[in-house]
Amino acid sequence: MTPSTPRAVYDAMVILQWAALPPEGSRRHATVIALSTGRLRLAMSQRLLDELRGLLLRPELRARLPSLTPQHVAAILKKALEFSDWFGSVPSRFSLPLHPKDDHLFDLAIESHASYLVTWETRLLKLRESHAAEAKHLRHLAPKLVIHTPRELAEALKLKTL
Amino acid sequence: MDVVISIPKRVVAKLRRRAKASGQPVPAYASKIVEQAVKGPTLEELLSPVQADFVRSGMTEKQFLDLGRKLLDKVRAEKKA
Repeated sequence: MTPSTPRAVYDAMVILQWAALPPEGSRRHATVIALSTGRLRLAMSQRLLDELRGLLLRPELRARLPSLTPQHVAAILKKALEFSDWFGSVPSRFSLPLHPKDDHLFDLAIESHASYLVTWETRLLKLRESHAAEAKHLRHLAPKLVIHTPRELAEALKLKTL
Repeated sequence: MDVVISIPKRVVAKLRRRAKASGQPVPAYASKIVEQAVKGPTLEELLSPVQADFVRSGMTEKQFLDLGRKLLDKVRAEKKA
């Protein structure tokens, strides 16, 4: 890591994907490679960490993935934190009126001066081309933030996933 | 075993300060840091059993991600309540 290592906010589904879905063949998850090679630092807040912990510890998930014991989840999150910059205080600055449950991701991206918000969610990806007031407001608050899918992130960072 | 590595100047200065503060020579201090760094499992090693569970579950990726979205909604709803 260098002082100028760009930061990224990964939404919980992106993290669930790399946690549970095996890499395709010999291809590794670009979102993991970006962190483990020091190309990116993850921006992390208590809210996002709690969300991840809550998701990974859901009994419905553990019924299918029995390895997700509380101890193993704690170890995964502890390891993920090694690749993260912690933001203890994340002020509310932005809201998507129809999807306020995503606000904490945008607030974290703004507070951490993140370069990337990585998500598969169409409602978030749509903001890239949107001319709606909230999209303009986001660009004003986080002018360098780029919203990418994991695949687009790999292309942007020119990561070799093979 | 001796390994020669190249370290940026700004890191060397910090390393020297920290080694001095710990009362150890720089090589011994650096060796301990490296040992600690590689002691635990990697992220990929930690994820490996979870990914093996997914394969055994018989779910498709789509089924799994749909389930994940539903569970995330539940987590968020419980947080809000």
